[in-house]
Amino acid sequence: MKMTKALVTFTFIFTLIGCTRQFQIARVVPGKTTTLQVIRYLDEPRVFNKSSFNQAEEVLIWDDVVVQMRDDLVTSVHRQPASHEKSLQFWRQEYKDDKQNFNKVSSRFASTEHIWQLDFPSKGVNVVYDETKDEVIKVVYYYVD
Amino acid sequence: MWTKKYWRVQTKLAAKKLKKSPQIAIYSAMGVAFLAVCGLFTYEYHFFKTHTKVSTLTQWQYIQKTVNQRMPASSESFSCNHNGTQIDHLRKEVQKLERKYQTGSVIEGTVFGLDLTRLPSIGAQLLADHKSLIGDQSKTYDFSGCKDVPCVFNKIYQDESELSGYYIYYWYLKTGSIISSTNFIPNQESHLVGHYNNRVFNFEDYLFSKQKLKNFYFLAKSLPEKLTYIPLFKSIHKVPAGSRIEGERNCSSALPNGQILVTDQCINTDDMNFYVNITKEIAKYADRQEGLKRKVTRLSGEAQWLDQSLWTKESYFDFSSHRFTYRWQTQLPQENFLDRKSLSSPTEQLASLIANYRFNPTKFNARTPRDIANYIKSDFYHNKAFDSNGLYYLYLNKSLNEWAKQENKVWSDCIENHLEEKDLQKSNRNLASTLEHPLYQCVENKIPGFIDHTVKKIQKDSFEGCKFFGDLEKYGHVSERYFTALNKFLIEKVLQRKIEIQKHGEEVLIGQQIKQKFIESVDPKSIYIKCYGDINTRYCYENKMSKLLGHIITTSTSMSDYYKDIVREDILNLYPYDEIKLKSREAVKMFLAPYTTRLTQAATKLWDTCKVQGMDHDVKIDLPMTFSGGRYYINAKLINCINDKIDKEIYDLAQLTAFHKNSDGRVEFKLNREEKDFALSFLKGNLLQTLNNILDKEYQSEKVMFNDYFRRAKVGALNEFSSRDDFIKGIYAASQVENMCLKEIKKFYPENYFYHTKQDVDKRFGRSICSIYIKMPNVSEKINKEITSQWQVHRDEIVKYLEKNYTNLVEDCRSDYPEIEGYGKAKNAQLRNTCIQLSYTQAISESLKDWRGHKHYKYFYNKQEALQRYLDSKRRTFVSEALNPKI
Repeated sequence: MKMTKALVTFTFIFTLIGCTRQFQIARVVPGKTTTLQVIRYLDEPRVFNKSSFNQAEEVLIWDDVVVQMRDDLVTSVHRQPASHEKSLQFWRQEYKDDKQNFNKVSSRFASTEHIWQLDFPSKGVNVVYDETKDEVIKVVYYYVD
Repeated sequence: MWTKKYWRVQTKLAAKKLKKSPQIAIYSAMGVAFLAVCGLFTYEYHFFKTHTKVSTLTQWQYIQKTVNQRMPASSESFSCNHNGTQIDHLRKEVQKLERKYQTGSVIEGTVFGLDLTRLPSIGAQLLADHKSLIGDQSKTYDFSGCKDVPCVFNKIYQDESELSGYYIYYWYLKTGSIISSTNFIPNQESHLVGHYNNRVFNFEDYLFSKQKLKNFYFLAKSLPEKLTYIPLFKSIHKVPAGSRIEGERNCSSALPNGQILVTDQCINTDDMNFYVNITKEIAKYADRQEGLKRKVTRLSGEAQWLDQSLWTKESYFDFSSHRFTYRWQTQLPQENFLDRKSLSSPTEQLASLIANYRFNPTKFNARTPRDIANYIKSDFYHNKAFDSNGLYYLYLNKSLNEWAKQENKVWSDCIENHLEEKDLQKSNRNLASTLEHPLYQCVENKIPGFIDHTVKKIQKDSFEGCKFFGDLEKYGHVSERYFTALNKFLIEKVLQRKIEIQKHGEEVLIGQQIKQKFIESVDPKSIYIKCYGDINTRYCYENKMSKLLGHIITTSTSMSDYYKDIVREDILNLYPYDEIKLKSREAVKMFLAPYTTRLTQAATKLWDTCKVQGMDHDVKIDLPMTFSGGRYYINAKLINCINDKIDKEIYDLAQLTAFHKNSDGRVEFKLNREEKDFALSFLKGNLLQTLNNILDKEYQSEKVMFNDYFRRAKVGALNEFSSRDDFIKGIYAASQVENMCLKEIKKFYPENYFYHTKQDVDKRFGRSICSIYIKMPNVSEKINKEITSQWQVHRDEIVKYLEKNYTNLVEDCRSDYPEIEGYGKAKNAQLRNTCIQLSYTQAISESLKDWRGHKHYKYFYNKQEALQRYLDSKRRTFVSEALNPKI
């Protein structure tokens, strides 16, 4: 009886976790997930357009996540950082043994903002950091060959 | 015992008793009423007592004022024409400001040979805090002959007129930031002074011209309070003449760590554009500072601002180049923006609005939607306006307020001189009989003098003051209106008092006494500070002021209710909310100014203490962090230590206390809890910015230290490694030697480095030393010899693969075409021989395939052709052996 109770509780907890938005976002894998799967996991997007930066890609926008697609496959997923991920130091320390490229984001459009990107090419992760806010504003997962 | 039941029973018994004896009932009722009245009075007394306590800031300012009054007034030397008296006027202005910041604290030490204890604390602070921003960094200076701060800058600028030094010092005193006069630009790529944007510059190329310093002086006078003493804003730097800001397209940039960079292109324009361009950059810090107070990172990033200005953001990640990019887009019509740059982001838009509101009000009013304009006016300018109409109201209200405060003194002076009977009741008949009484004439005669004094004060204190009264073409219509309205108001006010005296007689004097009592007993700053934490500060302030006034008025029973209302209205106008808010903020900023040195010293001490504990690559960071380290990597042990100690130690180290020494000893001004809360709201961000500035310096110095250190370490490492044959023994490639060198090079690294990861140091220094090591002639010869010998061994292993594969294939040929007797023997023998010969090529191919799985393939993969040739060279031997097997 005890075993059954524990089993039911665990099933319930796992179902609950499985339904969370974070879990659904994590299911979107760059290079593998298709448009239909993305919509199945995350519901209908608020915006579904061709990217104005690159016409070969489509961009799907939800309030908390942006997905870029090419040839019906996800190329990158942009999401908001969790509270502990908002500090750039967290990322610096987390991957301190991996290759890190830290560059200023092109100032062509946002000329006066101090936005940087910390790229971890071996992990397929790119972290966008606003220096004025001292805050990570975006975490991008992308497809690595 | 004290249960509910007990109380119910007791109440019922008491009620029964009261019914039986009405006398007890009456006594009880009287007792309750007496206690209620006493309670009310006690509350009123307590409220009055606590709210009429003069704030520490006011007490401190009063002392400064007393000291200042002993000095000659700076307005004596002031002239709108700025002729020869200007330097004297500037000197007096500076001295007056210096005294306003005196907190009695002494900064010890010497800077450029100058004894800091001999300087006013604010001046000493400037030199102590900003030494690295003063003078040519490749030179050492001796200014021991200087007696004041401006002298230091005048020597650097070589300005004999002495104006440059005073302009720079004045800017610091008014804004709390410094105009840099050094040849090192923050965040510059080269670590060498005088090197910028891949060019070498003279020290003079970094200095602002005297004309531009004068512009800074006027800008300092005209900046709104919210744009001064911003803890996040530290300094202004001019990039060398003719150069652009490194990595920037714009002519100005506000760096996250508090430095503004400007180019000649940005400042060599007309005065108005100069003011707008500089103010815009300062406004970006105000945006962040005000955001901190609302618990957002900046106002322009708040949803309210983004919705109001219809901003949206679009971003894109290019996965092939790993580049992120984005842009802001707005639905607000383009004609609502003040310049092209403000279309680039909400931050830029807000900064542009703040700057233009002050310096280009006509354009601002023409282009800005009303809701946005109101937001700027109330949130950044304390509801003041600076177009001609706004200036008119500003100066008129200032003058009226001044009159309201001085009126008492004017009347009492005249009463003193012109009434024989000081008791107004006795003189009443005399005063009532005529409006031409000498008392009235005396007051009226003082009006022109008052107007003259007020106008001079406005001209001296306000940026547009001189123009308002001097530029008749631009402001003639409003300045004329100002004189007419002020004159009319004052005459009406005097007439009103005359009538009041005639109608209400002594009540007028009582009213004046109440006004005087209110001025003396109520400190509006204290009330404002008490209300600071309230949700509706304005309502709280006005309500408390009204209550206090009510308390004072009720004490005079001899005044009619009608006249009480007149007095109430008159007195409440003395301290309007916006003005008191502004003055309280200004006072606390002045009080806190010397605090920054103590804070910097405390933060530096904290940092050094943590560094002593050394580094540890295995420690994990503790989250969340108060201080994050910005964009730099900091060793986890160090950053954990800093965050551990920030809250506990920093504010204790830097006490919020001021002193004043007088003939009676030492007076201490220590902020109470409410004042401390108010003051600390101005220091939010200051500590983090201080730590960021320390980190900037630490990072730079670690970089420089690395260059020096590794130059020496390289020699030691190469010497030791060149005799290490064990690095070379058994290697297949030079990269293996390099990797072994990298493992060993660690012992040549500094004992502690805090702002670089080990991977970073390996990449930048370790690998470069090791790559030099493997290229050393004797080392490279040994490596090549070893690799050649290993290659020969390896090649022979592949020959074994070939032997095995070829044997198998030959056996296949033999089984496919067996040796038979009789018919077909010859044909089979021919086919078998052909098969055996051709199989050799296939055997090579299969051997090469197997070779790819060999553990050393990665070292020799680029030798495939050589290997193939070598295997091919064995063909004759293998084939002939296969064709003629030894039995």
